[in-house]
Amino acid sequence: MSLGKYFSIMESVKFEVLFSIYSSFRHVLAEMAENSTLQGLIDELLADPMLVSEIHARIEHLLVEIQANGDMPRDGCIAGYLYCLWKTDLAKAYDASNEVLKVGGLWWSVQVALKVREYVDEITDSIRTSSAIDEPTEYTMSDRIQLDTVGLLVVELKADAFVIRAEMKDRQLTLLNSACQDSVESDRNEASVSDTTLQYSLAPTRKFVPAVAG
Amino acid sequence: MPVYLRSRNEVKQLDYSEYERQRKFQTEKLVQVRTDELLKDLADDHKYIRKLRSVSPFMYNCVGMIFSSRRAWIELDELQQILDEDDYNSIRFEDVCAGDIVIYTKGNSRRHVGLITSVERQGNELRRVLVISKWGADGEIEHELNVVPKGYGEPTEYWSERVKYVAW
Repeated sequence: MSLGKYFSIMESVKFEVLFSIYSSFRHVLAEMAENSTLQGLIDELLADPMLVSEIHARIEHLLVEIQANGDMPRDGCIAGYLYCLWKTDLAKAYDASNEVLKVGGLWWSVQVALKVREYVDEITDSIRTSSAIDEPTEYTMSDRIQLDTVGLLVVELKADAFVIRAEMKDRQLTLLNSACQDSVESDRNEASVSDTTLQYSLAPTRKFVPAVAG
Repeated sequence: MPVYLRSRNEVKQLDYSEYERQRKFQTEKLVQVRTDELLKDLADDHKYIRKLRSVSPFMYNCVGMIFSSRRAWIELDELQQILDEDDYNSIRFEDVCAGDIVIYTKGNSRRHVGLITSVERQGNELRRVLVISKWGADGEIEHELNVVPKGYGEPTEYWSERVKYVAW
């Protein structure tokens, strides 16, 4: 399906009410995880990462529209776009989240934005912590590395950063970017982690920093 | 604004004040448009509501409608604390009467809560149960027990704060 078709579906009232009826953010997230349109768009973005910028631009366009005319905020679709970025490009999701929070006046979009920021901040904090405790060993992208948490792969979040996509399945972390078709073992066994697909950005000058045990 | 329980504990609420930016989150027109869409969906399944009571743009939800007199948005995760600390007891469907609470669940997850406004009985059998409930950020609606958006699931729990509820 074309991006235009996704925009048309996601910016409809029919799509909006899928989320506006809920009273709890976790139900909105559950609905998003099950929604076939969002899953379809996520698949498209994973297949063609260039499209990620178009989704980011679409969010910016809608935010400008909302600022100009706050009469009909499209909360559901912005939340949906943000969710798709979260699942495909964390750096773009982080930037878009900050823009959503600056504009304000939205409901579930604000919750998704806060969740993305919390997620990224937790990851970056854990890197700082692990780096502070032990001297990190540096790995090249072709090394097999042992990880305690997937999140420690994130070193820098920059728009122009080198993008690494990683997929977590059955405690196997697979790096999916074309530069590195490597697979690494992961110790992570937290039952609460529900994400199966994660995307990270790594500044070109940086290398992987492994997790510190514990 | 704060909502206190009988226990005098305060109910946790989302704080959106930082993101409100001197603008309402939604307009009456927007609530009307969304609610019309929901009613159209239900009509496609031959389900019809009794009455659209309100399309207020104020951000209160199903929990806030019942437990804070339409003043607040209270997430469903807070519902059990409210039931516990406001002295509610789980009751049987056969024993419900106006003023009791119905909870809708999907899977094992509580998705919605409504206020029972009318119960028609024939002998010991319940013939019709009417409910008023606020559908998220959308309209406040008077409806039959089973006429709700699919996302809410089914009515499965009934609660009352009556000290000794009347068995019919």
